[in-house]
Amino acid sequence: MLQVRGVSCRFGGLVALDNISLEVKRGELVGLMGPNGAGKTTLFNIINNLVSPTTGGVWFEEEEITGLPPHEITRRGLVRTFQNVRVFEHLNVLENVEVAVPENNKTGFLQNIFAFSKIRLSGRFIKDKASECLKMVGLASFSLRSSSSLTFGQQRLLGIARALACKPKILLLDEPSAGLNREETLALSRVIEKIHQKKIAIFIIEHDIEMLMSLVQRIIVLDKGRKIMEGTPDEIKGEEKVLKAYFGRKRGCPI
Amino acid sequence: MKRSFLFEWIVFIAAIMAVPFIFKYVISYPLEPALRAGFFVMLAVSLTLVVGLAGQISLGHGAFFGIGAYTAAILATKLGLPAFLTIPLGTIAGVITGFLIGYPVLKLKSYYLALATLVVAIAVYEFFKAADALTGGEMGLYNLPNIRAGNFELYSPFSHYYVVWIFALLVIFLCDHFSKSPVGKKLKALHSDEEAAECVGIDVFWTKVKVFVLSSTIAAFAGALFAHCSYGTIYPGEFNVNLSIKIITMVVVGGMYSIYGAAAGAIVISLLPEVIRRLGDFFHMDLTQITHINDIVFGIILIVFMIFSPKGILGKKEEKSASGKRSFLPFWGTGSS
Repeated sequence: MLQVRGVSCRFGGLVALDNISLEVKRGELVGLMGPNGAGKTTLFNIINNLVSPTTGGVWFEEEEITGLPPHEITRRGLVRTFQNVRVFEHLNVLENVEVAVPENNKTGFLQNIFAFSKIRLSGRFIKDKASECLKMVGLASFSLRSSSSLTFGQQRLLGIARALACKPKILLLDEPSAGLNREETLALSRVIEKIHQKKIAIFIIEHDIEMLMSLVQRIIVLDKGRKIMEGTPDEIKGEEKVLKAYFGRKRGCPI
Repeated sequence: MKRSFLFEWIVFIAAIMAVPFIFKYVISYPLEPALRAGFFVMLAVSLTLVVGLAGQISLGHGAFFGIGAYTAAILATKLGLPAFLTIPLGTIAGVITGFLIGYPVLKLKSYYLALATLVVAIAVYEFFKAADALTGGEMGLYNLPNIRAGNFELYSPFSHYYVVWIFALLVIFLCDHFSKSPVGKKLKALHSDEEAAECVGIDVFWTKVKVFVLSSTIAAFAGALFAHCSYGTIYPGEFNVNLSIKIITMVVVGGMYSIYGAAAGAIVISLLPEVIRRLGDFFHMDLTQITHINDIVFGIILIVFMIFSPKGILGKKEEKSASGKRSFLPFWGTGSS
């Protein structure tokens, strides 16, 4: 469903990604690992075209999406989250999710000024959709709170609720468990499982291999912009190449 | 929830309607400042859609006021069109120029955007001064007709006041509704974080352009109306850069994030020269001194408010009102609860 073909990304002399090709099939749950600076977030930025690749392209559902504006890519069902969440601070929790609901884009500009009853109806519809997404991540009771008053873990969940509101066919999660404690990570895993049960494909950047072990079917490992390994969690866990990438030459380090 | 909103609006409307009578019979004061305030309300509220809601800097809003006024005036003097035609056409000029200017300018960010809008304000002003044959040059245009409706001709400040303020109230109400609508929320989202907004499916660039056009249209409408309520003349000096700075001051002072705040700021700032003039008379200062004091006071106000209180005089109330409550001062202060 999602194909990255021969993508390289050069920033001046720095090669962030070097000839990356990978695939995520419909309904799959795939992990993306690698030490910091490996190019994982850059890869996400290229898939969603916040950054243009130097070579190569991205295909989604058999159509090339390289070079499409990011909002268009999101509207096609490829949705990504950010490592630092980036909530909309001028909006409360519920509104943060509301703006992501696709129907939002269909009311004409002029109608938003004049059409009172139509706006009230679509407003209600959007509110309901947004509430559903908040319920799914467990933040329903925080709806009217200011988004910046949430804890970091809660903001993470808000980011995921917001992404869900976009009606994704595939969800790209960028280190969702970073900065979370054990409990929060478990809650997060449960949410991810719930999402996966809805047949939404998930491509997740993570360092926490314990978490990935229980969730994903396949892991791709990057290091210094190159794909160094691809396999099941068990295959990855003991693989020397991966250990070397994370920890240097030491062998026998428990992950 | 809805009842207090209605009640507050009724009180506000009644107060606005009563003002001319109070000015005439109670305090014996000329009505012109109150009339000007109505125009400024439309200008400040429309600017706050761009600056407060969408978070884009625009230092050239006065240009659209001028474009609307001159379009209406030129159509009236050169083609002899009556007010009820020139005003819609002047408004349409605002739509077109808003798009022509907004499209390139909104590709820029922060300082560059501010500069570009300032340049627009200067360029438009210079054009009004220079294009003699069309705009009457430095002297401007005169013999502008009054607004006619059948046998009624609106020539007194009294009648102008009501026409202008009915529209001003309409603009406040509709822009408030707009700011709470789905598009209004999209604008607040892109104000918070443009990239993140793009990634949830919001077409950031086009949304910015559309709100810019909306705001320029309202300003042009106000300008076209102004051409027919201004003792029959307009001249370039009324549409210089100071006007744009004044409007932005109103937005900042009243509360950048609030439609009602902008309206309050407009009223306060437009009445301020009157207060200064009375004080000047009291201290026996002459006209040039008073003008200078005007400029100094404005500059200081703008700087002080920008540094200490960017949320404006109504900003504090923002902290107290919880999101979802609709009241007369309904800030979208959902940033605090």
